[in-house]
Amino acid sequence: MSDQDDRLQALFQDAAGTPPESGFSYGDVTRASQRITRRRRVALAGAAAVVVALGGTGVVVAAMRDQGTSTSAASAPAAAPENNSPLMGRSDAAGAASAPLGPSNAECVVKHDPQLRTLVEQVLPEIIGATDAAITLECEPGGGRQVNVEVADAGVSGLLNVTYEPQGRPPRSVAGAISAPTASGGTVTVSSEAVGPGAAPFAAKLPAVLAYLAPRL
Amino acid sequence: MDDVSEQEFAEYFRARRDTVRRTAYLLCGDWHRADDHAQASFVALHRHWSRIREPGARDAWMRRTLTRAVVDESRRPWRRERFTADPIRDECVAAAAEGVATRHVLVDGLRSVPPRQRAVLVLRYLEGLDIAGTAAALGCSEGTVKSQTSHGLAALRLALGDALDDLAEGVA
Repeated sequence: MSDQDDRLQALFQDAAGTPPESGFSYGDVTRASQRITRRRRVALAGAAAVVVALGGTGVVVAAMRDQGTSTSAASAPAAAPENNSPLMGRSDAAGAASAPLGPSNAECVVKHDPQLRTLVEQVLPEIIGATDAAITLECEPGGGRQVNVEVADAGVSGLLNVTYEPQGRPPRSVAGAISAPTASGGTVTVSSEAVGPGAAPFAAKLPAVLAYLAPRL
Repeated sequence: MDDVSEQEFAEYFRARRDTVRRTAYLLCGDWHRADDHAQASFVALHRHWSRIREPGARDAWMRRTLTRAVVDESRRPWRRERFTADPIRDECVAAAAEGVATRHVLVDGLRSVPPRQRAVLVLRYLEGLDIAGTAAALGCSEGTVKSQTSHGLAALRLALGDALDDLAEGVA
């Protein structure tokens, strides 16, 4: 590389300078990624549903064509595959039989766990887009998961914490927190703390959050 | 994405975020848009993470995604940039004598370089890529990179006048 190239490199490096504070965080990136993935899945499921519906209609039409214009009970078996479509069976089963999330494989407890956050957002959509709360950076082993977010409810700001501890790990002890055993044998703990005067944000909804999370963790 | 991959991505994000932001800034000349482009590129990388195993390939993938996004955006009518052969403002030229102002002079000058030529200059002189690496990042031939470098530097010199002595001489 020539001297001229070296000088240009130095100039460009200097021009870029030290960046100002970033406008986005790791949590912003993972949440945006998961939103896109969810939207794609919904779109794919919708497309699959259309295909299945069209296929079912085709079966019905074909059956009617084979049997003339009669709409007697004989057409019912032809329509049966539509009602038993794999898509519908899968969606019915998804809520009841999906495997619990369970422990994390990460070396340290993930304190802004995107998968746990997705579950919390499903039951408490008010936190969608909420800022990740400040956390300590020490490595806590054990396969736990956490969500720590800054929240606001009825004009009161606060911090919401959801902690999952795997089987054999002591549940997190926080004043005012509520806990429940999870489907994977661990413990989920939910707490909310107001920053300043006022009731803790979403305090009335925490039991519902806990009830939703326990069978999914 | 499983937990191990998520942890790997988090580490990559922490290590590379500011580098990617700086590249985006020189590509578009505005920190807010730079953050938008950098975030969108990281989101895309997160979605493709499990398919890009090699660490070197991840950097190349990010460069390609980022530069294409900025160049594509500059082609949209509502974002189309104004190209000018006029030297930048006299007061800015005078300020170039001050070290602190140098970065603003260069960034302003870069904004008047056509986007694709600007991308070549940023990849070569900020990221330090050679001609082959720049060609791979932009998906073009090495000959194109050489000619774009030459044209880009000429455009930059024209925009800056004699504001920056380092650019006064021609560069092969």
